[in-house]
Amino acid sequence: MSGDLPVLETRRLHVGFGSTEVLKGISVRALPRRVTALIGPSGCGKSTLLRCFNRMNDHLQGFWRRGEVLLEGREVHDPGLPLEALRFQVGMVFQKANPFPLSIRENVVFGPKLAGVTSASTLEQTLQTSLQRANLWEEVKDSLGRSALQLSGGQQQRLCIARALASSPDVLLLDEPASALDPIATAKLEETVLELAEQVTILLVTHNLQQAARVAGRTAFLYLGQLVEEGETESFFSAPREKLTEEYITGRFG
Amino acid sequence: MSALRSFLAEGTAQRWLTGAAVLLSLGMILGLVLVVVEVAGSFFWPHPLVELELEDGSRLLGEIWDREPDPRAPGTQRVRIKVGNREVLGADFRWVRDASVRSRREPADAWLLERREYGNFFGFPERLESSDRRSEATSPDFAAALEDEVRAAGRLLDEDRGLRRKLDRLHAPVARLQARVNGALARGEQATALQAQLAEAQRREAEASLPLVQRLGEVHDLAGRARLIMRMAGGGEKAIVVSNIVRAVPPNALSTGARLTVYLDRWWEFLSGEPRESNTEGGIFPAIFGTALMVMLMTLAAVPLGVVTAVYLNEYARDNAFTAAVRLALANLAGVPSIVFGAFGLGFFVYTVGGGIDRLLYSDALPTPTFGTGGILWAALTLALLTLPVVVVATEEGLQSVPQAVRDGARALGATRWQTLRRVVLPYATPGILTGAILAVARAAGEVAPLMVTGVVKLAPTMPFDTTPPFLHLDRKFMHMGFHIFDVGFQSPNVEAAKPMVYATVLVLLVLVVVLNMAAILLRNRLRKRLRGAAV
Amino acid sequence: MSPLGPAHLRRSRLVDRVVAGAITTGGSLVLVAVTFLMVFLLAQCLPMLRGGDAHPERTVGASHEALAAFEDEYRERVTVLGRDGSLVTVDRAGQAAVGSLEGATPPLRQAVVSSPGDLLACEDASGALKVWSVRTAVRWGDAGRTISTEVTPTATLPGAASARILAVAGSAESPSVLLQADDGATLVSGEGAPARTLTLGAPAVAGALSHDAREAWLASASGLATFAVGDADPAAGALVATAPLGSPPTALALVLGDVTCLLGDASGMVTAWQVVSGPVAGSRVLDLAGRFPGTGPVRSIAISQRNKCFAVDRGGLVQIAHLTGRRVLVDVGSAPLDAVLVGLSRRFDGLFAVTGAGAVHRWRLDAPHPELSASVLFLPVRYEGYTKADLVWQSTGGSETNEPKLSLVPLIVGTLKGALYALLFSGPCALAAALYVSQFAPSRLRAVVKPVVELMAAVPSVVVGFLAALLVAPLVQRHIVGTLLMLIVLPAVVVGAAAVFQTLPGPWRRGLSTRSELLLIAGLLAAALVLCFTLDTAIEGALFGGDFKGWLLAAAGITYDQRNAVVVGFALGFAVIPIIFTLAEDAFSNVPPSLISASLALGATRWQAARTVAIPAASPGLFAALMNGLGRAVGETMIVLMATGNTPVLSLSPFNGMRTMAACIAVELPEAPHGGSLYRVLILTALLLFAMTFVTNTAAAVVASRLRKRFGRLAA
Ligand SMILES: Nc1ncnc2c1ncn2[C@@H]1O[C@H](COP(=O)(O)OP(=O)(O)O)[C@@H](O)[C@H]1O
Ligand SMILES: [Mg+2]
Repeated sequence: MSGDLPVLETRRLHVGFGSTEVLKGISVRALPRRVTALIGPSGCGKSTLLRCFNRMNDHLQGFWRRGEVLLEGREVHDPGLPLEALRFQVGMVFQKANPFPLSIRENVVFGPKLAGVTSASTLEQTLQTSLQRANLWEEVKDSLGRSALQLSGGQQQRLCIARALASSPDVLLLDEPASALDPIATAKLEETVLELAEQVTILLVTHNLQQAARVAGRTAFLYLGQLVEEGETESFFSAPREKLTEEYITGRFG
Repeated sequence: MSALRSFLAEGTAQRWLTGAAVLLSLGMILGLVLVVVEVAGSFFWPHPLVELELEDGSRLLGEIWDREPDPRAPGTQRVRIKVGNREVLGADFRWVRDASVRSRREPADAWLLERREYGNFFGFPERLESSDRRSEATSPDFAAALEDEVRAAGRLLDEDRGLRRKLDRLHAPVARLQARVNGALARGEQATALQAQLAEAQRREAEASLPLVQRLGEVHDLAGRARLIMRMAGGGEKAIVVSNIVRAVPPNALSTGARLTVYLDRWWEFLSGEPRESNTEGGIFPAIFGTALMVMLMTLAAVPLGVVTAVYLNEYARDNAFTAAVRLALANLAGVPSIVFGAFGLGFFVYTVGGGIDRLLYSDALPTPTFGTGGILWAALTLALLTLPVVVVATEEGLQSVPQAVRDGARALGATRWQTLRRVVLPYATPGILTGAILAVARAAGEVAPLMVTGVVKLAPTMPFDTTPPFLHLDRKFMHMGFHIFDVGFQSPNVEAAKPMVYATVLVLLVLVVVLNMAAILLRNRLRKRLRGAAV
Repeated sequence: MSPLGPAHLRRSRLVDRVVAGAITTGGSLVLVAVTFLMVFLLAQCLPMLRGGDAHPERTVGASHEALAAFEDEYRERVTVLGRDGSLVTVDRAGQAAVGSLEGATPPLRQAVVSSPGDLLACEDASGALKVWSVRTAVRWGDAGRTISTEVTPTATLPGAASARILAVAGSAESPSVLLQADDGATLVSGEGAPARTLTLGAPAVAGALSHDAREAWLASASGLATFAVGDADPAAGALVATAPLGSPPTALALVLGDVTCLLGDASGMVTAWQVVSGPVAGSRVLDLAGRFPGTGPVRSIAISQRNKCFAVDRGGLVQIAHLTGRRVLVDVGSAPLDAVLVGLSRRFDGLFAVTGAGAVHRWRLDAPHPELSASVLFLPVRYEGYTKADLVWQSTGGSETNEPKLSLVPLIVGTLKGALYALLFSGPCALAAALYVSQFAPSRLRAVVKPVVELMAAVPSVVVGFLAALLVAPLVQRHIVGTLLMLIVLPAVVVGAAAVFQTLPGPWRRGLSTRSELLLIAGLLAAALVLCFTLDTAIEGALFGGDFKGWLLAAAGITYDQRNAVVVGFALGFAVIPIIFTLAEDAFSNVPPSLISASLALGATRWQAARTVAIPAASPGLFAALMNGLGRAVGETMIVLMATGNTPVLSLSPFNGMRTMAACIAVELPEAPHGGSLYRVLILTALLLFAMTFVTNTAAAVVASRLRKRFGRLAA
C-alpha cells in the first residue's frame, strides 16, 4: 500500500435495479487513512454506491452493474476474492444500528469467530481493543454479557462500529451512521470516526453537510446518480467548482 | 317510516345483534367446557348409595344418576338409578317413577364394590371368608380385613400378570415360526423344514413354561379362595371373589376427607390404569401413552421438514412462480380435509410403502402383514403431513420477525447465508418454531379421522413401546384418546354406563389441548412483543 | 488483516452451499408431496374406470364332437364332454387327459351344464336322463397343488325320453332338470318326487332354473313366464308372471342372484326381465328392466358367478357386459364361428369357448371393477329389485349375490347439505361477531375474544361430535319446537329491546358502557332462551297437538331422526365459527382506520360507517372467510360421523340425517379390501373432497391476495 494510491475506486460505474439505472457512470476514489464523505440529496444513489464496495448489492433483486469497482487496485468481483474475504476486509456500519440479539461480547467477536479465531484470549483481546477504538469500552466493560439490545441508540451504533472493527478491516463504510442519533451521541460518534481515520480508510455517507465538513478530508457530491464534484473538503465547501454544488451546499435544494 | 329509518340508521339493533352473536359464540365454548367439567369432574366423586323401597315392596340399592319429567305421566318426575349387579339384574340402570317410591334411605352399611368384571356391585356385606379367616361384617375389623384381602389379591394378580408376560415371551419364537409356516403354506410352498423347527420350538416352549404354568395354577387357586358374601337389596346373597374387586367402599359412611381420597384415587386409576370391560371402565393409560408416542413420532417428522420449508420460503427462495406454487401447496395442505390425508396414508404409507417393506423384509410372514397394515408409524407420518403447514406458518412468523437489518449486518461482516441463519436468525426465531411444534402437537392430539384408517384400534393388546426388543414397535397398532372417545361413546354395548367415562376422557383431552394452545399463544405473544421492542 | 485461513473460508463456503442445496430440496418437498398426493390418489382410483381386456391364450384341444364343457375354479383345465361319452381334459399347455363319463351309454344324445357349472345333465343312448356332479378337487402333495375336475354320477331321473333338456339346477343330492314339453315344460327332480308341469301354451324353446331350483323361467316363441316350483304345489308350478315377446328367443339365462332373466333373440338384442309388483295389490308382473343391443343372432349367454356380468355370443362375436352398469365391459372379439359353448370362468378371470370339434379357445380376462363406471357413480342406476333408476349408496349388499350400490350422489348431497346447514348457522353468527369485535367493541374486548375463539378452534372435533350426538341431539329432540322457536325469538327479543332502548332519553343511552351493554344483551339472550324452552311444550300442544314429530310426519310426510341436520348444523357450526370469525375479523381490521374515521367525520353513525365503508371494503375478505369455513365444513369428519346417524339418505330435510363423503371414507375405508372396487371408489371420494376444498381454498386465497394488494395501495 503505497502513499497516495486510492484504496477504493470506481471507474465509470453503472448500477441499476431491473430497468432503472441508479448510478450512471461514476468514477470516484477514496484515499488511504482519510475520511471521504459522500453527500447528495436523498435517493441520489449514495447508499447504492457504498454497497458496491462490499458487494451488499449482490443480494438485492434485479441488481446489475457495469464498470469497475476496485479495492486497493483489485476488482472486488475478482473470482479469486471470495465475497466473505472481501467483507472481512471492508467493514460496514448501517444507517440504523443493527446489533444482533446477542450479548455485547458475542456481537463484537462475531466477525473474528467467523474468520475462524477460536482462542479465547485472542478473542478477549480483540473485544477490548475494538470496543476501545469505538470509544465504548469504558461504558460497557462491566456488562459485556448484557444483551446488546439494551444499549442506547448511540451506544448501539458504536457497538456496530466496534463489531466491524473487530475483523480488523482496512476500510470502513459508514452509511449515515448518525442520522438516528441525538446531537450528543452524534458528536461522540464523529469523534470516534476521526480517531479511526488514523488507521483505516473511511467512506462516510451523510446528508449532514456540517458533519461532512467536520470529519471528512475529502468530499464527493452525488446528484441523480452522477458524480458532480469531488475534492478536498475545505476547497469543496469554500470554493465549489460546479454551480450545482454551490446550490446544494447553500441549501437551495436537497 | 322515518322513525324506522332513523332506528336503522342509529344501528343500536344491529350492534346489539352482532353483540349477541359474540356472546352466543362465547357461550357455546363456555357451555361446552362447563358441561364437560361438570360431568367429568363429578363422576369420580363417591356418590351416596340410596336404597329405595318401591310400592310393590321390592327394594333397590344404587346411585341416582338423572332426574327428568316422566314422559308417560306429565307433571311427575322419574329418576334413573344405577343398580349395578349386572350379572344378577341384567341391566345397569333402572328408571323409577317418584310416585312408586314408598321410602328412601341412605344406609350406612351399604357398600360399593368396583369389580374387574361385570361392573359395580351394590349391596350389604355379610362376611368375608378366606382360607385362614372369617370376618363378619359386623365385626369392627371388617373394613381392615377386607382391605387386607383386596390388597393381597392385588399382589396375586400382579404375579399372575408377570407370569403371563413371561409365558408370552417364551411363546414369541413359536409364534414367529408359526407365522412363517402359515405364510409358506398359504403361498403354496414347502414348509417341512420350518415345520420341524416349529415342533422343536414348541417342545422347548412347553418344557420351559411348565413350572410357570404350574405356578399360575397355584396363583389362581389362591386368588379364588377369599370371598366376600354380599346381601343384595332385593334379597338373596351373592359371593364375590375378592380378587375380582378393585376397590370396596361404603360411600355413605365416608367422611369428606375419605371421599376426597377415593375421588383422587379414582382419578389416578383413570389416568394410570388399564382399561377394563372393553374400555368402559378402568383407566385410559394406554390411550394416553399411544397418543403421546404417536404425537412424538409425528413431531420428529413434521418439525424438521416444516422448519426447512419455512426457511426455504423465507430465507432462500426468491419470489417467483415456483415459490408461489409451494405456497399454494401449503395452503392446500392446510385446507385439505384430514380424512383425505387418511386415505392417502392408507394407500401410500400402509399399502405401498408398508407392503413394500413387507415384501422385502418380512416376506416370511406374508400374507399376514407386518408393516403392510395400519400402525403407529404410518399414523404419525400421516399426521405429520397434516400438521406440516402449522409448523411452517408459525416458523415463518418467527423468521419474519427477524429484522432484515440484522441479516444484513451479519452478511456485511462476512457471514455466509448459513452462518447468518444459524447464528443469528434461527436463535431469534426459536419461539416461533416452538409455537409451531406445540400447535402441531395440539392439533395431532385431537385429530381422529385419519387415524381411523391408518392404525388406531379400540383395544391394543400390546403397547407400541415395551420391554421386548426392539422396544419401539413402529408396526404396532395403538390406542388414542380421541378415538377412545368415539369408540366408547358410540360403539360400546353399554353407552349409557360408559358415558361419564367418556366425559372424563374428553376432559383430559380438552385440558391437554387447551394447555398446549395457551402455551403457544403465550409464546407467540412473547415473540410479538420482542419484535416490537427490537430495531425494525 | 484478519487471521483468516483460506481453508477455513473454503469450508464455510462449502457448508453454505451444501446447506443451501439441502434446504432448497427440503422446501420443494412440500410441493412434491402435495403433487404426489394428488397424483397418487388419482392413480389409485383411475383403474376403476377402465372396462377391461380379454387376452387370447393358446388354443388347445382334441378332436371329437363336443357337447358340453367345464372349467376348474383355478382356470387351469377345461374338460370337454364328447358325444362319444369321453371326457377330455386339456390344460393350458395343451396336454390332454382322456377319460370317460362314468355310467353313461354312448353315444350321448344331449347334454346340458348348470349355470355355475356344478351339474351336468345328459340323455344317453339308452334314453335315460342322468345327472352328474362336477367339482374341482384340490390336493396338496409333495409336488405342490394338484387340481382335478371330478365328474361323478349322482342321480338318474325319470325323464321323458328324447325331450329336450332346457336346464339343470339344484344340489348334487337332489338335482332338478327342466325338460321341454308340448305346452311348456316339465320339471323332474330326484328322490321319486313327481314331475311338475309348467304350462305355457306352447313348447318352451328356452328355460332356466334358479340355483335352488325353486323358480323356473320359460320362454316360448311368443312369451316369457316365470314359475314358482316350491314345495307348496307338487303337481304343477305356480305361474308367477308372464309377458309377451316380440321376437322368438334364442337364448335365456339368469344373472347371478336369480332375480334377472336375460333373453337373447335373433336380432342380437338381449333384454333383461325382472318380476315387479303389479298395479293390483299382490300381483306380480314381468318388467323389461334393460336392453343390450348388438349385431348378430344371440347364440348363448354365459353368466358370471362373481358379479352381475354376463357374456353374450352373437354369432361368434363375444361381448361381456354388466347388467346394472348397462355397459359393455369387454369386446372379446370373434369367437370361433362354430363355437357350441361359451363359458365365463368361475372367478371372472377368464373366458373359454369350445368348438363343435372340441377345440378350446381361451382368454384371460382382466376386468377388476366391472360394476364401476362414471355413470354408475354419478347417475341413477336401476339395480335389481328396483322398479326405477335410483341413486343409492349401499356398499355391502348383505349377501354375495346382492351387488353393492355405489352412487356417490347421496354422499355428495349429504356433504353439501351438512355444510349448508353449518354455514346457515355459523356464517351469520361469525360474521356478525367479527363485525362487533372489530367495529363496535373496544380493543380490550378483542384481546379477550380472540384467544377464546382460538381455543374454540382448538377443541378437537371428536369432542364436539360426541357432545352433539349424546348431549345436544337428545335435547333438541325433546325440545324441537323450542329449538326452532329460538331461531326467531332470540333475534326478535334483541331487536325489540333495542327499539325500546332507543326511545329512552339520551343521557340514559349514552351512560351505557360496552360492558354493561354486553351484560344487558346477555341477560336478554338468557331470558329469550328461558322463554323458548318454557313456551316449548305449550306451543307444541297448541299448534301441533302435543307431538311435533307426529304432526310433521302426518302433515308433510317428513320423518324425524334424532341425529339430524339441525344438530349437525349446530355442531359443525361450532367448528366453523372460529375459522370464519378469525378471518373475517382480520378482514375488518385490515380496513384502514382512516377510511372509517373519514366516514365518521362526515357525520355517519358507527353502524353507517360499518355498513357503507367497513363491510364493502372487507367483503372480499369476508367471502374468503366463508369459503374457508365452507372448506372446513365440507371436510369435517368426526362431527358428522357422530352427529348425523350416518345414513346415506338422499334428503334435504333438516330433520333427517345424512352421510357425508368424509364420514363415509372414515367408516368404510378401513374395511375395504385393498385394490377392490369399494377401495377405489372411496379413494375417488377422497380425491373429490380434495378437489372441492382445493377450489374453495384457492378461491379464498386468490380473493385474499387481491384484497391485500388493494389495501397495500390504499395504505401507501
Ligand atoms: N433494491 C432496490 N431495488 C430497486 N431500486 C432501488 C433499490 N435500492 C435502491 N433503489 C433505488 O436507487 C435509488 C438510490 O437509492 P439509495 O442508494 O438508497 O439512495 P440514497 O442512499 O442516496 O438516499 C433510489 O431511487 C432507490 O429507489
Ligand atoms: Mg441511503
